[in-house]
Amino acid sequence: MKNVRFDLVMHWLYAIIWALLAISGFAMIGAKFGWILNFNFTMADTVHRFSASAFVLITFIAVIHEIIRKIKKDNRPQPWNIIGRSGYQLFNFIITLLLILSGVLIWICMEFNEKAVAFALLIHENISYLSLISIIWHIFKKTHILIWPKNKVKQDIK
Amino acid sequence: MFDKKKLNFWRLTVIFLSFTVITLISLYLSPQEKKASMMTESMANMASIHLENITIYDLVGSSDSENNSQASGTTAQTANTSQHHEDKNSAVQTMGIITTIIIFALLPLLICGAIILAIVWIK
Repeated sequence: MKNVRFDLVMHWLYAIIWALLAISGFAMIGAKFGWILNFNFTMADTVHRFSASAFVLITFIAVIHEIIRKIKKDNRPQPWNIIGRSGYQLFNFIITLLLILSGVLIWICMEFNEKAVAFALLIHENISYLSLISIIWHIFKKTHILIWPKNKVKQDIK
Repeated sequence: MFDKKKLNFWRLTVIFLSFTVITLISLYLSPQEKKASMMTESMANMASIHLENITIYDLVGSSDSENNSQASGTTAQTANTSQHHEDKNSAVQTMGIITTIIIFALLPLLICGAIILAIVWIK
């Protein structure tokens, strides 16, 4: 347990929550993707709201972790980190913030300003498509990591 | 040539494609009535209030001007959505309150953290 990396755990927690948000979110767009959850919009709504809070929480933890690293002047690379100052980590951080902000706008304005909701929905939906495309690209680029390190395991056993 | 390092990606692709095809086939074989009724529930209504020919002025304008806008037809649908949320059972309501508190409590801190990180990273 001592060797479990914080950034690795955060990465996969984020991936699971992102997948739940994507499945429930795309299912709510309407008839074109409603089939993903058998047109059960009520369940999709519930799952999306619950996952959204976990998404905000995990992003907040990642931000705090990064700030603490900066305060401690810890410059060791954390390749699994979900946010960072360059590359895909920075892209993901910006996309995450935009998704959270537009999602919150939908949440707040639902009851009294449907025009703002419509605007936020447009942003939220299109950024979701961009995020989905980038995730597929990310999986393609990093897929070699999924190859189990057999040689390393053998060495560890010896 | 086929890159062996990317084999896992194509395996994942095949798995997800299989899930998609199975879901579509099972939906095709199941009755349609229930799904049609669900289109009027929950967030489904939001699909029909998507942005159309709206200006920035409309977004920041007061709610009094809503009747004159092109999106006025959506008011009744939003009311249905609100009614649906009121009808949820207590467990779902409790979960809704907790998730709302988490999001709205953390959002200002998250924005502050992002600003701090932006300053630190740029330096």
